[in-house]
Amino acid sequence: MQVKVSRAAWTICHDPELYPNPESFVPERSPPPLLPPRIPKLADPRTRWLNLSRDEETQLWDQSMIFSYGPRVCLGKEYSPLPPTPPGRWKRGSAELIFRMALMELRMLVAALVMKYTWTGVPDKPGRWDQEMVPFDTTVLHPTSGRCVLKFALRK
Amino acid sequence: MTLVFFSYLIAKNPEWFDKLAAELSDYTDVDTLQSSELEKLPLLNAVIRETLRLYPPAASPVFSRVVPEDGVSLGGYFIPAGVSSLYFKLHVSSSS
Repeated sequence: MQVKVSRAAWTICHDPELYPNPESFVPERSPPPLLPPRIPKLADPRTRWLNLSRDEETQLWDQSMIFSYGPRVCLGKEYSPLPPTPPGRWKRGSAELIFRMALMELRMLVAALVMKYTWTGVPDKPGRWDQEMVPFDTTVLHPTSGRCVLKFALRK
Repeated sequence: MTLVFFSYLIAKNPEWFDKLAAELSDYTDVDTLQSSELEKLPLLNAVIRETLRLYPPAASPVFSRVVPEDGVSLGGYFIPAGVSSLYFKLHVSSSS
């Protein structure tokens, strides 16, 4: 019997056992315990999320399912390059793959925004910005209010 | 959408704007930025990771629907109003 299994990235990413205080914005949080430890040193709780190597980050993306996994994986996902193929012996699945479009774009845009601008939120209803920004899930996650108004100023 | 949620989180946590600005202080020209250089910046990448974790853009595997007012009972389970829910191919279920 061919059983189909599915999962929601949201559920994994907001699991309090993997990410304590999952609703809090804590960029310096420790990485979740990884399973099974393909990279043994990640089992060391002293490894901080801030200092992940590219391999470790790839494993984290795999596990969180943010970009999904397997043949239908998001092309924007970060891959570690596979070992190079000997010349003339191309084999399916052995080519060097480095798809990192989404993360490359995000890094460039985030860096450029921070370098050029400062910004503040301009909520529709002051004091209720968090309610306006509660995420709503239809195909692509977006704010419930459908908008996020920000005021940007050029940095001096 | 990830940029929207990033901007929201930074506006809510301005101390992280300062941290990112300090980490990027060595860079002056936006036009010559290289992603391979930015990949080495721990704070920038941690913020991106945390943004994607809090707001995974493709949060669920199939299209979801919102449970209407009063909630609904399905197969003995009560699902409250407003919950974003998924369903799978009930029309080919062999038990109904």
